[in-house]
Amino acid sequence: MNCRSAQEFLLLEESGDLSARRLARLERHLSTCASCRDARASNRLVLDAVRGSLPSGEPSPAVLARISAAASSRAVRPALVFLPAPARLLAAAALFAVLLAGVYSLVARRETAARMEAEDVVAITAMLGHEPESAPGKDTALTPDEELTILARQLLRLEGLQAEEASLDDLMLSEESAPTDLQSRSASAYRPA
Amino acid sequence: MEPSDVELLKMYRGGDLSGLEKLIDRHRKPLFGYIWNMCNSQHESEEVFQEVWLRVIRNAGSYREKSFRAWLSRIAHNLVVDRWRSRKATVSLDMDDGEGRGVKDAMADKRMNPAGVAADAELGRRIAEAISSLPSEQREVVIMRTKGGLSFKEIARAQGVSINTALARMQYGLSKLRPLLKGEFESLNGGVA
Repeated sequence: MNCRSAQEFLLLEESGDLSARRLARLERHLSTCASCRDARASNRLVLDAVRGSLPSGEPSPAVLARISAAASSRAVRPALVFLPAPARLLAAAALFAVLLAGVYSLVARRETAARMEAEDVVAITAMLGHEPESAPGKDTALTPDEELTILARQLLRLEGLQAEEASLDDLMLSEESAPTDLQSRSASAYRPA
Repeated sequence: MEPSDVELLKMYRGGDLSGLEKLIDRHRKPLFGYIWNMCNSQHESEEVFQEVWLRVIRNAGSYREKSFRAWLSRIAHNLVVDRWRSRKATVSLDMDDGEGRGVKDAMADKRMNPAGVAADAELGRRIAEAISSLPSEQREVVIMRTKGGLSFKEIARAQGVSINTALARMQYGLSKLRPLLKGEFESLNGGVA
């Protein structure tokens, strides 16, 4: 090692930047070079004197309070805000994809429900033995709402027949009418309106 | 065992304000010491100090450096350089320390020099004069090393130069300061058996 390198190594040694291997090399040089030993002592003296001479100062409590306030207003926000920009973008994209999937699922379920309702109308109508009504002047294809309306009417008719049957039962219990009377009465009850 | 700077920053990112408070406390003195000796006044020093921490708070999420102290110093360096460019400021012995005192008076005040190494106020004045006369890059290296406590690796990173350049700047600064302490050095050497 020459003295020029040693001068640099002395500064690095003082700041703690020197590796153990290089420190050993420096020590070997210093053991044989008085000039560099003087330089090491001189450096330490100057740097200590500078440290002691230059004032340090302190920030005021008001400044520290302002920094603390800024820090706390940031700290209460979700940790998401501290994600780097690319990660935030990724998170936003993922959220958007989830929302989109949710909306699609909702729309698909509604369509399925509407289709099922229409199928139910057809099935129930078939059970009741009636052809589905169609609005005058319209094509045979009905909207879900129209089909539901028809179904509702069918069900009300069914309820009406049931109500008449119930009253017939009451009649059978309360009166001891002739069978023929009963038969004629029940027959008229089941006659479609 | 004390948590590292990175661990404290992670705590803060997780919403724990005490992480940042500990960081501020840990780095307050060296950071402000560096800024104070690079700026014109207590007020300006406090503005720069505050802005450093506001930038840390804003960018905590994207922090990826190996050394928090080097990152902090680079932010401070950039802010100080901005101030220089806007006003071509230099460390002046007549600058106010915020309490109506000049730096000369502050150096003579033992309260500002707790280490008490440079007991001679006149010597301290000459050292401060010599430092203020250095070119800004060399002055910054000396102050970062002595008041900021940065290693040369960190100084190089803060200034955006190679470690060899940082060392060269320090060598230059020491060569200007060494003659001021020639008498002290000789008496020190004379005392060694």
